[in-house]
Amino acid sequence: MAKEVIFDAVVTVAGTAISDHTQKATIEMKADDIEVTAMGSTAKERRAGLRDDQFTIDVFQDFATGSIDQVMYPLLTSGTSFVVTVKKSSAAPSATNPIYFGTCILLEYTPLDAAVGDASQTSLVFPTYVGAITRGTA
Amino acid sequence: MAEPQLLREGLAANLLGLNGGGGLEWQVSAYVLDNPTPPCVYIASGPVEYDKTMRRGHDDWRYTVYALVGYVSDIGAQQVLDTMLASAGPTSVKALVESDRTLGGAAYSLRVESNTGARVYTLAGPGQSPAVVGAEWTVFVMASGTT
Repeated sequence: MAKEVIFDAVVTVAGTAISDHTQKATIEMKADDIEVTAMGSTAKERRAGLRDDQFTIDVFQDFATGSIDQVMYPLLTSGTSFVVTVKKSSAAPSATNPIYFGTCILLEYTPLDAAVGDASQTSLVFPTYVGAITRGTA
Repeated sequence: MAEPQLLREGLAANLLGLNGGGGLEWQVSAYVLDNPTPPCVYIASGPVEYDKTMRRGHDDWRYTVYALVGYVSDIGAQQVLDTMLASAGPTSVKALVESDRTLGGAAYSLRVESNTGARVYTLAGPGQSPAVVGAEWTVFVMASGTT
């Protein structure tokens, strides 16, 4: 398997592709660490607890019609759920180009986070609304 | 991708405003001049950083604006250069370049980041006075990587 450079990742939020504004995409899938160590053990014993997944997308902010701000603000204020998808390239989903998707919610939004002269960037965090992030291959 | 020609020409178009503000007749060129004669302004391309976002969303470009105002012996030329180095005013290079930050739609945004301050340039062309006063400005341009 070849190492690779990522430059073609596809990110959609509530059906809107924001790939061309995305600088970095992170998929975090984790379960609570439940310790079940008992007397007589010589090392800690663990079980996987509840899943707590999220996507973190670092973007260049854009206030134009239909772009980042106009998509994110209603998602925050409505509190509704929506689907987020991320795959590493624009090729069709496959075993070697899996698509990760989840039903998420936006609980915090920072429309502006820039100093004078900076490119306007912000970080979008999408924890799952219900269920875990799923890995699809087709 | 952004058309470099459109970015250069957009910068030059913004600088045409020099001819309305200072009383000098400026030669404004989007390209480096072979035989620059003051007063003149021209654009040179600088480093480009590709793939600032996924899917060729945008690239970062840098350009240098060169201005040669007049001979060092001419105090008036140095006074004009002072007005060009200012951050505002009819002959402020920063204000003129930033007057249309999209360069006619060719760029997402731009900013004049810095200037070198007054410099003395030596011109080597035949019949040219060797010492000319001028300056350079660095311009940061964000432009699409695909269109």
